[in-house]
Amino acid sequence: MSLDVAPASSFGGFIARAHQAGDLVVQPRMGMSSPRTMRAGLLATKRAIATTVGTITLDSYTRVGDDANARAAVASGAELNGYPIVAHDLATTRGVLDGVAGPDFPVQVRHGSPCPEDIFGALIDAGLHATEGGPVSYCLPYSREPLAASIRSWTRSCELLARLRDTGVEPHLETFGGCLMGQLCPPSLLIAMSVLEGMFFRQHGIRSISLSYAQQTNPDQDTEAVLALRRLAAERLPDVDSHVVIYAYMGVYPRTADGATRLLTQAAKLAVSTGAARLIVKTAAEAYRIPSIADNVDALETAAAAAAAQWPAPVAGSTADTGIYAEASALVDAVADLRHDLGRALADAFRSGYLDVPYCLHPDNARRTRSYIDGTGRLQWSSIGSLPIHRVVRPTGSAELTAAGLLASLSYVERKFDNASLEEYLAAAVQATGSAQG
Amino acid sequence: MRFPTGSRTPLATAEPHREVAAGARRYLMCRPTYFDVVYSINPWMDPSKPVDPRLAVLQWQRLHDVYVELGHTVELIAPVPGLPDMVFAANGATVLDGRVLVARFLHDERAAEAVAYLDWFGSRGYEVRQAAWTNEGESDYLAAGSWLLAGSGFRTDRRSHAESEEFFGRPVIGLTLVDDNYYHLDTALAVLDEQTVMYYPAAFTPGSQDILRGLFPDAIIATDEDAEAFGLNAVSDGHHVVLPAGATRLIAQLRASGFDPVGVEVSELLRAGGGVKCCTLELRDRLPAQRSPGAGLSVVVTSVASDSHNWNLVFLQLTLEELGHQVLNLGPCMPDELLVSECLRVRPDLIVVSSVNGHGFRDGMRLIGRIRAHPELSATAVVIGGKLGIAGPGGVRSRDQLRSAGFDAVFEEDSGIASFKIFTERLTMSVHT
Repeated sequence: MSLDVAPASSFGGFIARAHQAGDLVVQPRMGMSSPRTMRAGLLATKRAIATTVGTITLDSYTRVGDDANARAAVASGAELNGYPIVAHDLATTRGVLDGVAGPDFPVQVRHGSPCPEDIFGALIDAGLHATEGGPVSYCLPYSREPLAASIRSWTRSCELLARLRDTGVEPHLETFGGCLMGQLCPPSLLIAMSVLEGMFFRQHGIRSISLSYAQQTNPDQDTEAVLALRRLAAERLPDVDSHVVIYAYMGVYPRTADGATRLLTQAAKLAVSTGAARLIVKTAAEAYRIPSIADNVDALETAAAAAAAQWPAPVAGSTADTGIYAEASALVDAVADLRHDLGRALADAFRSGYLDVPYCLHPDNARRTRSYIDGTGRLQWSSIGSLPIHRVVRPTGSAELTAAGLLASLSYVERKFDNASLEEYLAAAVQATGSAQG
Repeated sequence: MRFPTGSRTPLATAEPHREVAAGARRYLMCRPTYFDVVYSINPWMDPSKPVDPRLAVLQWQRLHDVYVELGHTVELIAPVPGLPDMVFAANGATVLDGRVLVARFLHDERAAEAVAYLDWFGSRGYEVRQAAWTNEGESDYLAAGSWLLAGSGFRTDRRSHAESEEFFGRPVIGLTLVDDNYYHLDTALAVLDEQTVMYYPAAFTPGSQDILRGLFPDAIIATDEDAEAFGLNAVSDGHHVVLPAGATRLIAQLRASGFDPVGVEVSELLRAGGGVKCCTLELRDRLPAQRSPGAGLSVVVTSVASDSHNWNLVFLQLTLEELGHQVLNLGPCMPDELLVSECLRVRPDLIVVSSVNGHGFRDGMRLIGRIRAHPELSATAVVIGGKLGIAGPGGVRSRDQLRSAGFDAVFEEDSGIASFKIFTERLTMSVHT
């Protein structure tokens, strides 16, 4: 991490200072349609016993650019599944942020849009300068928008955001490429996508970038992946302020409170042991309902405590090399070598199958790769399609996923953490019964 | 390489009544706006002799018009300045069953053409990728029945034969060219119908000549003069054969074999080493479901326009494939109009709409009306399932509403998958009897 390009008032600068001080920054995925509740959520995040940054997550209408429906909902007072930053007028959003957002509490906008220009415009007008996404990672999984259109829009959006530097602010952009479909994507493709989106941001003027990685199914594999991501970031983005952000598991979440907490704790440990600087949490209520503000604060404090317990941690350096770095590096090189213009290189890469996200049904995805979870819980390729990794990929089982196997894989983490919790509960109950009898 | 074994009997080429339905074809062509000879990558090209661009355009236009007059559809790809050979569209890709393998050109001068073809097919929803090995498209890959005849020796890399076999799932017959005047397979051989070809033996190695004699014992054999007139660089729709007017003996042979030859002038294009076939890439779209007893159904799986969920559709695809059906998975967020047009193109046995975001009932009621409005789809089986209402299962009433609106069956929530499997089983039996 290089600090010289991240001024004190920036999102990147705040994270860098916390990291140096030994604090993992934790962040919720929070978004409410009512300005009053949104402000309350930000204040609660700020006051949580943890080093936090705030989040404004947008609603689905704003995500797809359907501002008419978002405005209608705002006018009628109907509740949306996030904060409609484009539909709310500027004074309203400034009111939400006033006295809350600042150098000591940066706020990031999270959205999910393949064409985010209006969203970028609205957040800049509101005085914010940190957001996230990416031309691939917010197009392929969640929309039918042609990839080329998303790339064009993200080009303009990045350039819009980069212009903030003229006003003395260092804007920050986080890749969502480390998540993609949320599950069943082998880590090498996740980190390659994250780095490629980071390189795309850099090519369009962004100098403070975070690279995401979503917790997967095996802690050792995750550790190797995040270390590979940091190495790639240092090599391919040497001249920008960058840090790694971990997402707590993005797939089917455990239903027991215990299972959910242990999964989150594991994510915090992963972040600390790999030198990641920030963690985006999930709540114990995740599997049932839209989490409340209190649910979020609980999760933030749980994660921060787990991270502090882990600190100071020797950065894991002795994980077995199963080839994640080699695969990811080959993917990044193959795409970057296609064209100087990374946007066009990304489009060409998907057309030629150099990038191909397993099980993603977007029309621009080649759909020739498949993956599975092996007996040790690691994600493996069962088919690499045209991914340019045939020279480096390690031979694995060629277990073709069946429909039943797919369901089992999607619920692998949920079952692992819930069942462990139930077993512990039963064991404790048996012990309690035993001692009562004795 | 797989090689066909003996039992096949090619049609006798001397049958006088070849009234086989000449199916309407779809071709892709590129106007020779920037045509020129500025480099030499084959013996026909001489940059020192000026070409007449006006004449080239006129000859190309006539060829285009012949196809249209014969009832074929001609799509156009925009010419790109600085790519003088782009007029030779057949070199750009191979298209079979709607899958596209875009060329990887041997010469740097032509490499950028591939990008234009990737764009063209990519933006039209084809399943497309670029060949990993040198592969000059349909100029070296000619579909003959269920086989793919594949040239090598000058341009296309032999290693691409295995790649194409894998990509298209068709057996490839490799043929080696030896005469640099006939540097592409389509300059030395033309496929006339599923079982008939015409070719110039001297362009091939002795081994390849043996293969061709074995496969096509009754083929039409071209003379030196006709080969030199680029007579084998021809396009057949199974009945009409469009070829250079100068290939006079071939024209007579074709007529004697029951084909209907149509002579055109391509002299100006020949100065770049290309002719009729080189200008014409056939777009072999996905065929309507080929049914054979027990072969399973052709199924389209999709969601409604407002639903972006992906995993339910992957699960249904795997479930249906395990039951032996062929699945075209159109993915989530599917606009009504696009779904209808895809179904009109593919003509599936079954359309499966799956939705889990709670809008399935609303969107489904609208969608089924649009599907049933097309007479071609009025009898197609269409089912809907998943989590269709915001407030949990809608019960008998919403199921009845969906059925009277035109769905053949409604499968709600988790219990739906077992009854869905039974439904497809029954449908398979009724379709195949």
